[in-house]
Amino acid sequence: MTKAPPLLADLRHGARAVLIRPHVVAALLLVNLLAAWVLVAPLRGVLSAELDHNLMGDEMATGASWRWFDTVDRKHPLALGDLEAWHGLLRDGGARWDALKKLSGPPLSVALAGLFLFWVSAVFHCGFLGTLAAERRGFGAGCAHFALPVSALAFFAGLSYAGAYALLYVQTGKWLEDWRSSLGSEWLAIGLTWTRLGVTLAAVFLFKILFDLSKVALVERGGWNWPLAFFVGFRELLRSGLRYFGLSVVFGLGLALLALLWSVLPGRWAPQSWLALLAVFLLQQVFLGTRIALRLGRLAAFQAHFTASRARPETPPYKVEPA
Amino acid sequence: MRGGCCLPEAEPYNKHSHVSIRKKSRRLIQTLAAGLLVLGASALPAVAESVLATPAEVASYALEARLDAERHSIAGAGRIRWRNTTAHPASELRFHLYLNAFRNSASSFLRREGAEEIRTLAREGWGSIELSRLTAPGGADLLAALELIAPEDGNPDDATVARVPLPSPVPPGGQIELEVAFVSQLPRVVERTGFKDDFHFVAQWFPKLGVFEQDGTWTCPQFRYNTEFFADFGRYDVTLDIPGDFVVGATGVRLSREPAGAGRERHRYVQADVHDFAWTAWPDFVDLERTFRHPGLPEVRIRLLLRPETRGFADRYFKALENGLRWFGEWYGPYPYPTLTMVDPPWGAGAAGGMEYPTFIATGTRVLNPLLSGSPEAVTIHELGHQWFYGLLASDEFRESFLDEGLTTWATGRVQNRAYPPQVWTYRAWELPLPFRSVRQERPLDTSARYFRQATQDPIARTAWGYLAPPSYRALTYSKMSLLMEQVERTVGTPAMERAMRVYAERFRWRHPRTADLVSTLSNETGHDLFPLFAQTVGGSDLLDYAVEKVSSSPRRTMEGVTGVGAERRTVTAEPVPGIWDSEVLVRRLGGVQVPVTVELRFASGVTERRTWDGRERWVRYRIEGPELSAAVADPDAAQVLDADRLNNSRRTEPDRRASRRWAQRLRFWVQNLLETFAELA
Repeated sequence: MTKAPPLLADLRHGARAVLIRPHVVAALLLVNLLAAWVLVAPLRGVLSAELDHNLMGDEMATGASWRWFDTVDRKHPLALGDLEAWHGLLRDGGARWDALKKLSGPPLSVALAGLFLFWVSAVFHCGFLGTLAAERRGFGAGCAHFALPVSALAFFAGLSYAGAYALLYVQTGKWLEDWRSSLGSEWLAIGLTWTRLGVTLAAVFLFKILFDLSKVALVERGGWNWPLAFFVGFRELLRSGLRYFGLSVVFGLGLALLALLWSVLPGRWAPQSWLALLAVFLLQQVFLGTRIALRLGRLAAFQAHFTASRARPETPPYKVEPA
Repeated sequence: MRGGCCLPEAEPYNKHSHVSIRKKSRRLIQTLAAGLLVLGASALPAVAESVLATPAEVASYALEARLDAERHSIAGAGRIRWRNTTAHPASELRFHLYLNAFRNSASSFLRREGAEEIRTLAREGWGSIELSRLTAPGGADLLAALELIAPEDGNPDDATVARVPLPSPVPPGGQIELEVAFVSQLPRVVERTGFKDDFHFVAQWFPKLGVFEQDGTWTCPQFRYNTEFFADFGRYDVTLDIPGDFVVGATGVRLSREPAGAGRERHRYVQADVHDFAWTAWPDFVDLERTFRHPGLPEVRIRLLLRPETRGFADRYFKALENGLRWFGEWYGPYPYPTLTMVDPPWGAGAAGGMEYPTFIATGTRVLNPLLSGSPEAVTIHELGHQWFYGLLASDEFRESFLDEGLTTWATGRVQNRAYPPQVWTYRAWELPLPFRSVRQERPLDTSARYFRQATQDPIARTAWGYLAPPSYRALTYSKMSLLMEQVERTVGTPAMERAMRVYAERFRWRHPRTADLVSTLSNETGHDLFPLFAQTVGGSDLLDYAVEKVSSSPRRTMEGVTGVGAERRTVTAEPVPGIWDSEVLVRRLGGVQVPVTVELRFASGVTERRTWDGRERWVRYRIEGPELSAAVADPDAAQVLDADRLNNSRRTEPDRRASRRWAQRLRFWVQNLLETFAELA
């Protein structure tokens, strides 16, 4: 019986898989950048109109003015749209359905683009995993081959996340609303909110691992049978859930470290020249590229552990005596 | 019947008629004052009247109250003495029965769209007040003739005002003493009063007299949404019979505390020169005391009654109260009472917080609130500020709520600016406050900016219940009035404003000042005629908005074309004239409010030049010959804080794209990260 590869080996495999495929990271970054550019483009006119000519632009060139944001929000309600649904995501009660229905303007565009990116990324993930699978495929070929079955998986993944949020966070918030205000301590009420949030995130995290394993299984099997891939993924989760959890935590910590690094860099960057603007732009793309690399690295680590554990022979039900 | 919206809106400016805005606004403010008189306001006092040392004792109460902590009810009894200080005989008395606003969903308070309190009250208990005895001197029963009335909306199911005909009128200068007994059932705390578990916050709990105005009519409106209170000064002597394990706090000085048997205690509180009495009782209060001392001001014993989990905020609360007592005392005269009690209600009873009663205030905080967020300092100083603007200057909170809320909001910002670092924008995500240190909020310009979102909904001058909607009430009563006061201060200068407000605060201490009293005092004391500004901004709902719409500057060139006649005709080309630039600035008044505005011309050399425009026309154009112009600014000192759009107040001749590029880049980066988060979930 071979020993299960250590966590470090999975991580090493994940990192290596990404490092030798920078073109995949670059492709994903490009898609992200283009989407963001398109989304922000309509706001450039507002920014220009409200900053280029008035003297408050001096303050905004180096700092941030609450009054400027408030005034622009009032003057250009259509340009900025209704942010209530986005705010709702961060509140105790959660995003309300009626606020979601009122989404408009750029917040709606960003939400729709986010959903599009969610689907596209699922396809890209399969393309990337295809480059690692035993039956190797090119990135593009992998994307094309698995686009349909992974769309089904992505659909159910999205549904699971939304369901977990709606049920575990929003609905419990409604159920517990009266009880919450009757609690004897504000700390208990805050604890209740954080518990709801924690449980929701844990569920989303679990679903995330499950659907990633399903994608890995789909690509490893090479066919289109996504329900079977889902069940294989599910069985793998039951078998080695802790390992996948550990891998996810390590990559999550990597992401947290990245965010921390970014926050201690000169956060008030106020580029005054084209050159400085370019330098900041490049740094931002390095940050985003690293995020993408961490995302892909985690998938590759999952794939490494998945294939290794499946290559492992089953323990025979009887003792084999040497001849 | 009085009620509804009582004050006329400002007349719109007619560009074809150049009748002086000053004349118009004087007429308007006179109409406004006359409207108040018609509605029962007292005759406007002459501004030269001397300061009153103590208030006239008009409505005094000697009550005994027993709290049933299980049923959350109060059995009260005692005497009410009322003096008629008007020149008219009073043939009836009018009482507020506030708690009846919570007796069922048919009350005028709850009969409004989206009244969320109903659900809570239905689940946890309605409130009510019932009189069981009301007798005149000699024992004549007045209860049989008591009539519930609804002077404002005629709602037959509203029981918040009672009219009691008297057997014989109380003559001018006369007085009457009534015996009263009542039972008050507290509601679950929904609106400033009630209980939550064994916490009791008891306000507006006894039959309370309205105000008999100088014109012989009663001001005693129904309890409606947004409304606060208005009453005459008097002496309160209240004995509270409370379970012995409860910590008790109340208006005034506790004269005695003695056992009452059966594990209960009797607390006697007395306070003269106040116009209300509220109290609280809860076994879990953390009870802290500190004495405020400051040179030139009387000592005040500050008592904090905190919920245990905000014990860590005690020092911040004390400091906020001390800062308030100091600065309000220096600006508006000393706090005249020996005690001040502050209550931080328990979790789930926040509706009792953020409210003022004489010598007794309720504030509140979240357990996670960084200092930079300005909370709970702002609400604490605000409620303390009401000890002046409501407590001592007892304006009519029904009809002129802006006189106490607006002035207090403005004064609170001034105290905070003196005593605290700048406030930063704080976003609360999943209960966790996230202060954005680089995004500062100037007080009161930014902290009162909600006004601009409701700017044209209503004039400020409205009854508290007459605004379009609660956000409109808050935005205009608190924020617009606060901004208006700030604008006046920036216009007349801080020393003049402080002097004028001191005169206002002293002259109308212990009285019921009206809007006209404030405006005339400010105008007389600062030497600025503020009637036009107040008429437009208090009586009207137009916007104030000046904009620099066009700025250009180009080097002068000689004429181009054909000159001369006949044989002398020549074609000439334009030649530059060194050192001379032709510049043009177009300033427009986009809003309806007309005020004089300063326009600053900024030249490329760094030199500036200021001009004043009276703002009467819709626009003014300046043509300047001379050095190169780089920018123009309308209201460069930001004195017109009511200006709805400060982004159009300045304009450069040449655009500077640094800021827009920077923010476009940041925005794109934020969106990129958001999209990447979606991708990570895939």
